[in-house]
Amino acid sequence: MSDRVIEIIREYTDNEVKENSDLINDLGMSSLDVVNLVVAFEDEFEIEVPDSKIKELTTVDRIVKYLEENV
Amino acid sequence: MTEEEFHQFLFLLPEYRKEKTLRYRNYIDQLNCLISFLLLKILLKRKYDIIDFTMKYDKNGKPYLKEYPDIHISISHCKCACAVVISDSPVGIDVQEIRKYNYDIYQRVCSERELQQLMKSDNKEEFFTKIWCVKECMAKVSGMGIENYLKQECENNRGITVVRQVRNYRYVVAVCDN
Repeated sequence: MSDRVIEIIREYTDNEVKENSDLINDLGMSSLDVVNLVVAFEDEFEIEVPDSKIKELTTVDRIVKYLEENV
Repeated sequence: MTEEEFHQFLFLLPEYRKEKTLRYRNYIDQLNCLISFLLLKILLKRKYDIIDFTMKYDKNGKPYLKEYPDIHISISHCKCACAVVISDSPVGIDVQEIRKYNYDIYQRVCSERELQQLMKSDNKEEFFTKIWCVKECMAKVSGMGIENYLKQECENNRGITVVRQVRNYRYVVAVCDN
């Protein structure tokens, strides 16, 4: 799961993606990139992420944890 | 900017901002981090005659000036542009490159009415980017996350948007206040 998440995130940034990388501060993503990423995860893993959860998905490991709990 | 110029400008940054700039591996992200701070320095000197300040981020990621809590700042950057605004009252700015997004994103971001207007538009990419930028500005002004504005109706007169072009890139800049 972690590897696939990192692989998807790498499509949105040229910065080094680590498990504790912050999407905005470390990876240089914009909020719109984050929304794009959430939609990409929804398509990839066939889930729906409530809007209220988006603000919690700020780092790679939080995304992995969320997907592991909900997929 | 040449590499030499980059390092000369980097030298002008306080240590915390220099470190943040160099943590980015992508050169454009480094440039945005550098230039946005320098723009802020210029604006603060011009409007308030402020030279020394510390820029910090609150728990929601909103930037503020530690020594000047009554001066409001907002920063945004995308691949082709950087934008900074300062004000005596809460303010937000967003700059976003105009490009194609798929319908899933439109549906995720826009209210029903915004989506209807968007689908009737002759230039969907530009229309959507303006919608997004205004929502993002409002999120920055309120300090609340963008998730509070997704699929919500956002009044058009809450933000001013302009479209600009630099080289092959077209982008929208939006500014919004309380």
